[in-house]
Amino acid sequence: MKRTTLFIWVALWSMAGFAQTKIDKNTFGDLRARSLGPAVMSGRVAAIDAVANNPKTVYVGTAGGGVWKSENEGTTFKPVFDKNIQAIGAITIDQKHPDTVWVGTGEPWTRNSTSVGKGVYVTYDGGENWKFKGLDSTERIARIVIDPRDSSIIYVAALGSLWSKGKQRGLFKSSDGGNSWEKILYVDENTGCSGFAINPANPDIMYAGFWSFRRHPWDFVSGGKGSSFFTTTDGGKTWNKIEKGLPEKPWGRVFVDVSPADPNVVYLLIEAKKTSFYKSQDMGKTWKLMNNNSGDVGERPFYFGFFVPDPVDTNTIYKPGFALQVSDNGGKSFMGASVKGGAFHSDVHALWINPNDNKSMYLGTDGGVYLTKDRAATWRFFRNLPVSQFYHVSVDNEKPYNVFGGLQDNGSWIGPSKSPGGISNCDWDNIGYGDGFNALRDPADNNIMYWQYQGGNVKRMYLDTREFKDIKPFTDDGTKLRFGWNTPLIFGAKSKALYTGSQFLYKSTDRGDSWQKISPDLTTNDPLKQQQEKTGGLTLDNSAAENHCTIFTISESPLDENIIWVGTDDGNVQVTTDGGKTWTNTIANVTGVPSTTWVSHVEASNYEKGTAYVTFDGHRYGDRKAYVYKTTDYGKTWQSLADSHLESYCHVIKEDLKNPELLFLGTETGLYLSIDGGNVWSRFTGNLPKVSVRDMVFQKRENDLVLATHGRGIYIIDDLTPLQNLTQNKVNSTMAWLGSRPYKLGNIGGSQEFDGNDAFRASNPPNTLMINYYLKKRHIFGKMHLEIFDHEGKLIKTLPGGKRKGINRVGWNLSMKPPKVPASVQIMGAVFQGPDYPPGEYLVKVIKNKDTIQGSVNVAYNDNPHHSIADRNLRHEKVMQAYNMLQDLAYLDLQMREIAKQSSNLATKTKGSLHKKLLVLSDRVEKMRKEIVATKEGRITGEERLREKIGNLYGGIISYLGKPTQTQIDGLNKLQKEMDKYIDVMHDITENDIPTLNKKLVKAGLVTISITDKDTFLKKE
Amino acid sequence: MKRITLFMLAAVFSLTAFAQDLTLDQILKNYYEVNGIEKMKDINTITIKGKSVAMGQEFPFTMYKKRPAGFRLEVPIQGTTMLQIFNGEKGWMVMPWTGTTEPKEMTEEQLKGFKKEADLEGPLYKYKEKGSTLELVGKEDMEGSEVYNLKLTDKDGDVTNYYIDADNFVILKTKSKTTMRGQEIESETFFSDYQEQDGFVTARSIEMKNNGQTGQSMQITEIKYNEPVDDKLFQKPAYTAPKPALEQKK
Repeated sequence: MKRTTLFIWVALWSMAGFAQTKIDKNTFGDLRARSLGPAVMSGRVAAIDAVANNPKTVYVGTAGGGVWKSENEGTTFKPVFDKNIQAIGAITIDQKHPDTVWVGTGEPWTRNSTSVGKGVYVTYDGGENWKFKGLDSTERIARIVIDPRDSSIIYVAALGSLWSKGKQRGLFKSSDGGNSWEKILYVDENTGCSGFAINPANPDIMYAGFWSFRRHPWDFVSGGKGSSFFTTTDGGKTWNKIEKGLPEKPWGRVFVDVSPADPNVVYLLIEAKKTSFYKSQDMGKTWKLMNNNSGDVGERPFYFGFFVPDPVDTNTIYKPGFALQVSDNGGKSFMGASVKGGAFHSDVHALWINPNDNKSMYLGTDGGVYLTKDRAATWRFFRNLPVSQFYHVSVDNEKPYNVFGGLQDNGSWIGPSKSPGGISNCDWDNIGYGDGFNALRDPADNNIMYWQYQGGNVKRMYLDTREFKDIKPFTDDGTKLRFGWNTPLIFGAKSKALYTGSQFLYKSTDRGDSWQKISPDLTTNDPLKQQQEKTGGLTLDNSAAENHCTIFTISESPLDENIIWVGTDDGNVQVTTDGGKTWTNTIANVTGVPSTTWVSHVEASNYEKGTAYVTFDGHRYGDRKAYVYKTTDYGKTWQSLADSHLESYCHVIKEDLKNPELLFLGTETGLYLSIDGGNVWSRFTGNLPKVSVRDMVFQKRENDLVLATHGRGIYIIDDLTPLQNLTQNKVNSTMAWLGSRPYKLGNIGGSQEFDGNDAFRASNPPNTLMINYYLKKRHIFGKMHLEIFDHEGKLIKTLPGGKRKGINRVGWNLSMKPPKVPASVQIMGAVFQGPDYPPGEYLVKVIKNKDTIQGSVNVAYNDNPHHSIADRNLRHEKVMQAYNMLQDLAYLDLQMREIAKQSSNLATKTKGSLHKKLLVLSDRVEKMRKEIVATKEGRITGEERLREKIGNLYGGIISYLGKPTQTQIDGLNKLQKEMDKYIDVMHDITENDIPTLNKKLVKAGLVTISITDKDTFLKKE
Repeated sequence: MKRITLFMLAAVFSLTAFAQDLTLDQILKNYYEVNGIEKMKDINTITIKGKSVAMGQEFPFTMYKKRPAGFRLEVPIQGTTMLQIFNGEKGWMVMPWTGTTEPKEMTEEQLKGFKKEADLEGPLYKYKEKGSTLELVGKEDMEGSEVYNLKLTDKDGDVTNYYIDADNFVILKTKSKTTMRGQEIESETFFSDYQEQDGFVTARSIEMKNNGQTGQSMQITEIKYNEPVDDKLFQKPAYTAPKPALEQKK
């Protein structure tokens, strides 16, 4: 009784406490996104540091893809920062304790598309675990320096916020290993610390460069009254502002560094009207202008405002920029460093030079990391850093389907969603140049592609001949068309017409050969935000990156082509219900979003004509709140869907194609899911880092979701079925069946490539049927397993169950047990694989102690143009014939071994004719056995007997999905006949010889020869 | 059955009794009690049967452990047997798929794992006597379960983290780092389907994962304690070399 009471008490308690189970990251359990990379073009790298005394250990900090560590000079890398924000600005190894590594988040290369950081982290175990060390509003960190005398003294040069004022910027010092920080040098709310260096011989001597900078959505300003340069000789207690001998103010970005070879030598780079490079030979007391040539030292200061002094030669300075330049005369003149024509991606942001061998360097660019061993003459590219920065993604309907997208400074690409042996770098195909954005395949003609580069440029391309045609809309009525950096380009979900947008919406029904303007100016058309010819501040930089008052996102209703939604970068949400004749700006109906906040995405509903979703992104005004809205009445009213789980600004929202309550939200800090239409959100963490998710697309046929991340390439969530079926009711239950997409039988083959470990290779989707179910709590005690039944109700397979909280996925490979084969020292690889169970419906029971849930899974042949169903059925039949032959042969072999062993054994206990007969029998079966089984020992004996011949035919037929060859079919029949002879002989022996002998053995008082029966043998494990 | 019920009740009690964080010694004490580790001293041999699943293939196996440090694993494959044997000092493997059944001696580093396997009480028990150090890293969330993370560093410097369920005091996961030829090799093992038998609570389902994805799993179907196990099983397996090719021609 007591027990019952306790039980009831527990039950009641749990009911009260957990009536409604809220989703959290564990709810999605085993569901994992699959990283597709690619690493072929890699992505922007912001910082690199290596262990000085063991440069094989190197850390790479990427603009949006986290921190990667290699311990073998780049042969392999692993991501070590995936749980934290992925935008990295600075990495500094404590060279006295190389397992201690400081990371400053938020890159200092302040381009329009840059992500945001969130403070400082440290690891004490080489990247295994990270501790957050504060400064969470610094947004971007240019440099971290450790006091060479004391590893607990840390300096952080914080640039601070790019799009807003901010007080948490300047130079910070910690004297207690980062537990507390003191702001030791600060200029103003608009000015951050862009350069900081310490005298290694006397660390009380320090240098700090400050930069006044600001982005707005419509322009960029580099330079202002705050830009300045300071030195101290007392460890930062007092600072001297240095202007004498330096350029006329105002200044822009300021960078400073001390020559590691001679601490008296200090170099200084100041962006000014004429950007200039200085040298001091007296620790900063006096400065000499070395160079102010814009091609040598003046390239895009906001993007390349640094240099690297050689650690050995004080007169050698490397100047990263569009390329890597070098001066061997203290900066007087510069030349390209790659004198042997060494090639690397343009736009250099990080350079690490080995202090013990200055010919060796790691280089970080907009397209990944390179290594030189010959002083920059030639370069090796690391093909294993999948930190690619996609802006957009699309898919086609090929089998397997392909993924398309464009990237920051890396053009446009196509890659397959699966490939024999996994998706390698070589599987990706570059189709467009520049900064890539949308890349689309024509829905009606597979040979036609569309791709973009910055500023709304669109090309239509024939894939086979690679010709492309410029199809950008043009107007001759004198209106200036404003196209954004990242201009939308879509196919209408219903009409399949092509859309793009400047301030006007354009539609084309002839593949871009002509465009119809179907809207008036849909933006605010604010003239103050259209002065891009003045953007850049001190250094003009009008690259289309600041174009504003443009259309940013377009969505045509999948239910009605006349309903089109448009979002603009200056905060309008426009809708037409008559194909563009009339437009309504619905932004006034949205409450809670500051005016002119960038509309990052509009999405027309798949279910209701009046329903749409919109996300806003205010980060370009310094507002990082999540804004997600839904309307069900064409924008007359909008309801906020954001909840407190959302950490940052949103880029994209998608409504599931099968379950309208299931929503996917791409944010700056990862992917979020809601299973109740947006009431509660939870971050999806299955193999997906906290990365910026910029775009998403469904692949309808496969029921997949494909993600474009800005820093970690493409991810695919294969088969959304378990999420689509994960209703709130199921989340509340202790155990629930979730189902899976039909499984398609058929492999895609392998590949014989042994290309080492230094290239990224993405995995294919699981090659097994995934059985999905939900558990409210982890299973710990008692039995839990899965049982699979065929259509006749016969139990054909038991599988161990997944036990974790949330979604569990158990793979069933549909293979029967491999055939039993005759015992031999020679293992046959060909028969390790069992035949597949045939297509049809199978019942699955998930059994957890006394509880059972069940559901069915469907199996079909995969789509294959070469094989008819009849051919595939014939293949199955012949595989089974060979399978049964091997099992028959295995039994024959068992009989022979048992007889030989027992009769030779008995022979030792007998004399005379019985002895002789037993020996004759033993020899006879042993001889026969050698005719059916390879018995020679050795690795490559080449010996072939019946076992090997049938095994090879089995392997041959099973490895091809279609019709077996006539030779294979005839071969099986021939071997069957051959085997039948032995079966007949064995039959004769077991039916006649053995009973006769057994009688005599009984008479002699000995045990008889007994043989395992066939059923027992076949059932035995 | 009775014992299981009692045991489950104990687990429920522990929910309320040990709601607050425990010290390392308290965690170990509970772990020993719940799993029956102290009673292991009466056990001389363990025979374990089950099946192992790797790459979609199933292999039945039998494992023998005998004090002081004997370990033997048998896996039948196509009529031959794969063997892994450890006698407390040396170990051998027979890998028939290489075309020979000649036993291969294991290296010192390969033996490390077998030494742990042959330790009937497991490395946590009397860790100090075994030359290891143990640290309570803290209480943390493991895929939605509250666990105590215990970090064991053995005398070779290899590190294993034990994630012990904070409610039930059974091990849910281990994460180990072993040094092989100067390289750190990491592996994660998940334990479930705990069952009580003869006073011992043991996991009947063991999954080895690499980067979150299951590599190999083991399902234990039978455990026998103190069955007679012949010492010969832990010796180097017999082997007769084949005749040289020249002689085989005859």
